Amino acid sequence: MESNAGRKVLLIDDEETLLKNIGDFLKVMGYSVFTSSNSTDGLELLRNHSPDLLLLDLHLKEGLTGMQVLKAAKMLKPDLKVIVLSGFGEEEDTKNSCISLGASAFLGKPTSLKSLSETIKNLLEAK
Amino acid sequence: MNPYSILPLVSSISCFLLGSILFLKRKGSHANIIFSLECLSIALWFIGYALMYSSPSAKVALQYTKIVYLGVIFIPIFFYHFVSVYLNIKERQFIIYSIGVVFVAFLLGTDYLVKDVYSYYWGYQTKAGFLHIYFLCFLFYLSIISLVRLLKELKKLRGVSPIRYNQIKYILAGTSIGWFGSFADFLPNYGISYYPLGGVFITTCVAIIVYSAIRFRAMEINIAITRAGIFAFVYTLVLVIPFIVGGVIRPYVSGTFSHWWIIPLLIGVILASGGPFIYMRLQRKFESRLRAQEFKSHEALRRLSHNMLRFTNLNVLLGLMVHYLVKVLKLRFVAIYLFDRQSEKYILSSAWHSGENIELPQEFEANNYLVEYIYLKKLPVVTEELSLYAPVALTPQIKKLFSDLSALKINTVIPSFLRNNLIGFLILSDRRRKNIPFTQEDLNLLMVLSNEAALAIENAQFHQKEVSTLVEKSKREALADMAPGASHQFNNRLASISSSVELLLLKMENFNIEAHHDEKTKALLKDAKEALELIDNEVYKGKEITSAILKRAKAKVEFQEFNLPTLIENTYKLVMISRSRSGLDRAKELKFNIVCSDKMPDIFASEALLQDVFYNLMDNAYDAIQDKAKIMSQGGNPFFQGEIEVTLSQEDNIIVAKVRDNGIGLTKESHRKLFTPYFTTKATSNKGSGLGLCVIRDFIEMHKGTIACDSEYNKGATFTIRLPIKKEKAHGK
Repeated sequence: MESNAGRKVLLIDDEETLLKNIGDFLKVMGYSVFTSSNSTDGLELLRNHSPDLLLLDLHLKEGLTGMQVLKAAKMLKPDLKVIVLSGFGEEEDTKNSCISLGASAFLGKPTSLKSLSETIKNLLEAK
Repeated sequence: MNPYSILPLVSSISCFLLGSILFLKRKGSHANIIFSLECLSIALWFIGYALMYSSPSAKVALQYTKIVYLGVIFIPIFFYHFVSVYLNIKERQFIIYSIGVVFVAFLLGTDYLVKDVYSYYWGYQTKAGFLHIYFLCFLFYLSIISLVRLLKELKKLRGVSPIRYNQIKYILAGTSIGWFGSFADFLPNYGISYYPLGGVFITTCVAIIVYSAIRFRAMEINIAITRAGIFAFVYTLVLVIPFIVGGVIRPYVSGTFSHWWIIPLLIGVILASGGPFIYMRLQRKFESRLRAQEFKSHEALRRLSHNMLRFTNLNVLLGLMVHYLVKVLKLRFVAIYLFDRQSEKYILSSAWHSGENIELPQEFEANNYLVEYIYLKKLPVVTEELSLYAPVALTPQIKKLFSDLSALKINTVIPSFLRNNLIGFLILSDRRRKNIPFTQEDLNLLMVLSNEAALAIENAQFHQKEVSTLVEKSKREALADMAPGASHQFNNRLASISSSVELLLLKMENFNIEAHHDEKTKALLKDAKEALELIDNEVYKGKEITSAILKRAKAKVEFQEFNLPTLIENTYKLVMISRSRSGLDRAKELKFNIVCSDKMPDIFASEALLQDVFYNLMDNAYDAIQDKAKIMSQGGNPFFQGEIEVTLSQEDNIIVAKVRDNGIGLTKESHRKLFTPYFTTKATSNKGSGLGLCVIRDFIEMHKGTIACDSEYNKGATFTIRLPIKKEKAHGK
């Protein structure tokens, strides 16, 4: 767990409960976690803290859509690892367009925290 | 020429012509040949009269009167012979013909039969000899026997054979008119001055009988007699009035005006040209009374055939047709058979009985001789006519057809053609008021009706298919609209739950339960952990549901390549999701199995339509298993193991998918009707909300594929679908 220390993860999701739960979990796992429930604050956090990884919900209630945030984030920080979370199921089309925009992984909600943490770990270690 | 010769001359020519027509029209019929001879004798009789009236001297007239009697002697003989042949009475005619020859001998060789001639105001007329009275007895004897025989047959045929019954009524009516009108013609033979008017009656009689023999579908007898009566009345007036006028004005004008005969001639010409109009007018007037009922029913049929196209529900349309026909035509039953292209059979689609129930066959094979016969004929088939008017030697097929139709009490079969295809036929019983066959007019109208019905049926079938396709499409669209949003919401809730649960579980893992000594707390924590794990599991089941629904919603109608086994697996999940509410009441959990090789190629097809197809097949299989389980448990076996198995295999460029279940299967009747529109084995409407198999078949046919069913009642059913893997030209909707 200590190996995760110093890794910064940014979490953007409009579901407050999920935001809190995943945030708490990642903190327990040893990451520094920044959370935002909207795109504006999320991108602000991205600029200010330059996280290593972004966990992004594809469907955001206000501001930009998940896709737009993904594009913006990759522009701001091209080497940023992005995991896209989607409540619309693991649909091939969406998944492919996210990957082509630079996302590293695509997970359908609900996803188990364990597999989430494994995905994060794999992505960050591959760096 | 003596004007009194005109009537017998006209009668003679008419009877000769009628006899010739009969002889030429119905060659080969023994009875008709004899009746033609009868006509010839009558013609001889009248031509003799005509010549006799115009004779210059009694001596010449005496020669002609022999011609008259040459005809007269044979009239009763031929009639007697005709009746016995017509009624199939096997007897020798030798004796009566011999008697005839004896009379001829007396006629030609002696003056016993014809003694001399009288001279009346119209001309010479035969004077009877002492044998003449014996001849009259002979004539009466033969006539009465013939009449009695006809009456007996008439009684026997009541309700058995309407066409023949009607024919005999014609013969009886004609004979009565002829004889009662012409017996008076013998009066002048005994010195009584009466101008013989028999020609009018005899000609009417011959006309009626010939009409009934050559006309396939004779009109009702009372109508025929009315028509003939009006005709005779009008033309008697046309012929008689000028004579009367001439007789009345002659003494006054002949002195001053030498061409006095121009006046009656003019009147005659005027009357003759006005005759047809008077005739038609009178006929219309009388018939509108006599045939009021018939006109009403024809009007009703016409209205029905006009309104049929408005019906868009096939069952309602067919039901209405049979009901209406039974009522309007006063029949005992009517049934409609429609062609089913899947089974290539004509299937009983609608029937109506009034009163007694007659077991009609459920189907006719397309190569059945009835079907082939009406297909060739393209006209109504009247059972009785098959035997009455068939060529002398009946073919075995027609014989069989006749006996089969008679056994079913089918009176008439009316084909229904659409673009030269026999799409079905109407079966009619005879009328409840027996002995009235269908007239040509009835049958023409029924043909119009049945062809109109063909259009209406096509229209209704098209409409129903269109509606159910539309319903299916709107269901699909509604799902596509709603499913993504709903599943997103649902998945987010699930994500919140699962993350909370997992976080808690994680915390519990890091928490040493055993360190606690309080047993109650320990037990509680253990329970809590189990509960949390259960919740976590359920969450992922929930995710599978939304994912299956989403896949269904996102399936495209457009043709594209996709993996068929995946689609079928997903479809099965959907069936289970929608059915888990009701559950398998009495069966164990269903076994589901997909058998296919790993190297199954992707298929180019419409994912959405095929999903509909497999969904409905598996949904039906589920019902069938449910029904079987119910029966098994009633039989004391509560643990029926239901199975649905989908086998996929490849044959060249075709994927063969077999959906097999071990449910209740189909009865023969259900199996037959399987692909007819809106057929369902399911009693309640809420259950039968799925697509009809006929729409499924359409979907498969859009893929240029085929679907077939193989089933045995109580054993299960297998639906085999064959789909081309690639398509040259896709035509998805």
